[in-house]
Amino acid sequence: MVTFILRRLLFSIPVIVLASVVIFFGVSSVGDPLGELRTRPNVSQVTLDNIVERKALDQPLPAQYLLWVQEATTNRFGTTLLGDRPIWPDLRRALWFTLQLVIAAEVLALIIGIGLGVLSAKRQYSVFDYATTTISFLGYSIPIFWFALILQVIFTNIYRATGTRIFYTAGLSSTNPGTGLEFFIDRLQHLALPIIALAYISLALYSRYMRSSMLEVINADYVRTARAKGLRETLVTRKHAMRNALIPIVTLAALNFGALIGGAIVTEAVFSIPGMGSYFIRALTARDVYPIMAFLMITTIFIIIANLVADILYGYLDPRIRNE
Amino acid sequence: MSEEIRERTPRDAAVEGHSQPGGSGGPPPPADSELDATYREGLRIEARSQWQLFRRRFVTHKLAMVSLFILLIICGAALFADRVAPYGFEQIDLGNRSKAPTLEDNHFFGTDKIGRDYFSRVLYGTGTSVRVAFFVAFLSTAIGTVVGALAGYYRGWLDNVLMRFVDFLLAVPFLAVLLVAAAFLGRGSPYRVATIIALLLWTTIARIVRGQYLSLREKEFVEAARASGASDARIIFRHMLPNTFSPIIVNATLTVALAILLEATLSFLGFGIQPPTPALGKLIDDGKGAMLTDWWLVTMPGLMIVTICLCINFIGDGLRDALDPTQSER
Repeated sequence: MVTFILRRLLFSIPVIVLASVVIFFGVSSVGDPLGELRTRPNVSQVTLDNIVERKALDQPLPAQYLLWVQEATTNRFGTTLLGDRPIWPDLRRALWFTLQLVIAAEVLALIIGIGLGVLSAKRQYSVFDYATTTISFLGYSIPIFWFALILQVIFTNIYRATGTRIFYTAGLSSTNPGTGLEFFIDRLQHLALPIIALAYISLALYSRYMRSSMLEVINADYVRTARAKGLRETLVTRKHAMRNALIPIVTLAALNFGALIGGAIVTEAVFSIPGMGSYFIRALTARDVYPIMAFLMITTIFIIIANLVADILYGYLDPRIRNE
Repeated sequence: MSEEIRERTPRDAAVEGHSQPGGSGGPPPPADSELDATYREGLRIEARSQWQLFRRRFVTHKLAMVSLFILLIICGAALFADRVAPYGFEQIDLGNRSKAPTLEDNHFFGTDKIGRDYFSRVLYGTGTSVRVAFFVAFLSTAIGTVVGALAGYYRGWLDNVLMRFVDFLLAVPFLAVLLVAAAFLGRGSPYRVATIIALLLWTTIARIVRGQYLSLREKEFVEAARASGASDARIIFRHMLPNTFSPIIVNATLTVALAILLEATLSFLGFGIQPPTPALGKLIDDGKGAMLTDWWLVTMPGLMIVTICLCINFIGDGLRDALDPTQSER
């Protein structure tokens, strides 16, 4: 198992290197770092020259790439184009908020999605099954930003009508969040709606796949054997069927991690959460390529880590993979 | 399926009756002339083409048929918005500001702060969205099919490059990459935005087609075609391509829904289609400032997106069942 993990770790290094190459050359060729600045009347030629000198923009692209890698590894992604502001402190604070949102949404979506999938497979063609199918089809069809806006409208109106706060509809904390448990509850009240909005889309995916994966397993010989030797039905479902049906979901959850980050960009924009997504949108609005590349690089590393965890889990769940 | 069996029964019965005229236990054999008529009647069953079989199966899929009907109406109204819509896209009517949805004066979806009719605005916006989405589906399917076919057929470097590119796209947040490309290259033009979406979406279909070609190239009919001297191009496009139509069509359909969602998201965040071109995402973005009092400003364009995507997803489901009945989900 250790060699398996080590091998997978080593294998992800070239992927990260390749990603950095594609991200740097991709963003550099798509967006001229100075293009936007040149059109602004209040930016002088001296400022432009300074930026060119600071970021070595007069060098050929490969040299710029090496400089960028050096900056990223030794100086934590360096500074922004405009204003020369260090990227990492801002990004790290934002990263923590985004991780809270994404991980909570992923866990919620997995638990509910798997539950719904298992139950609707057990009761195939029942009303419950059709309801779940409808929910998941809606999940494929609802734009996440619209769903988030509708949640905002509903809960703001509930607050206005009843005067009690169930969930907040914007931001991360109240002006006076308190400490300890109070702080936690306050944060939860703020994050609940974003988490629901973000989880719903993934939930649709998970419940759909879990249902078909479960249906496949339920008809397998070893499940019939388990039932034939007189095991209780709950035990057959939980220990024999569900565990095996979960294996493909692990891969799916890892693949879906990128979609969750994309969803987080949108959700954070709607709920004005100061996370990575908002940071990214701000950089994009300013057409500042350096924070953009930093964002892409960090999220890529996170997705690679998610895939790594999935692979290791996969190896743990399915010994055939490990010994290959 | 059951219909087919029922329609074949007379012939089968006739054949059986013919081959064992004095069979014990069976029904008494009919008179010769009658038998002959039944027999010939049975033989006159027309062979159904693949297309006919597909159509029969699709038509029985009620949800897909209803969805197709609704989608056709919406698309028709949206594409001809300039004739269908009761008002213009930018037509201001200060006498009718912030009206809730009503049948009066045809303001089905209400009006906004400066009295623009929202039903008309949504129709125009849908027109753009639908055009963009079909363009994306067409372009990405065309690119994906050709690249996937060549990579699957020839293997080699093209296959390697394709798969590495696919790996890369799986390792980055797709929406972020799309946002970067749209922000720097989109310039708010619908066709530029559509092209950008298509250039990032084609890998899905390429992967599917590649997989199909990898297994098809080992099949006997390909070998037979090669043995009889068919050129590579002929094998790839005339012999193998028709065998991959099912997944291509299903995927192209689902791409339309995905493209509508992506374009709306881009436009909502301000990096997609820009005014003066109407777009559903932009309408929602414009309406969100007043959404607590004028709920219809956000709700109506969103409901339009959901309806279209839901219809397309149901149609895709029906197509999948109809094109490949062996693979239908249980």
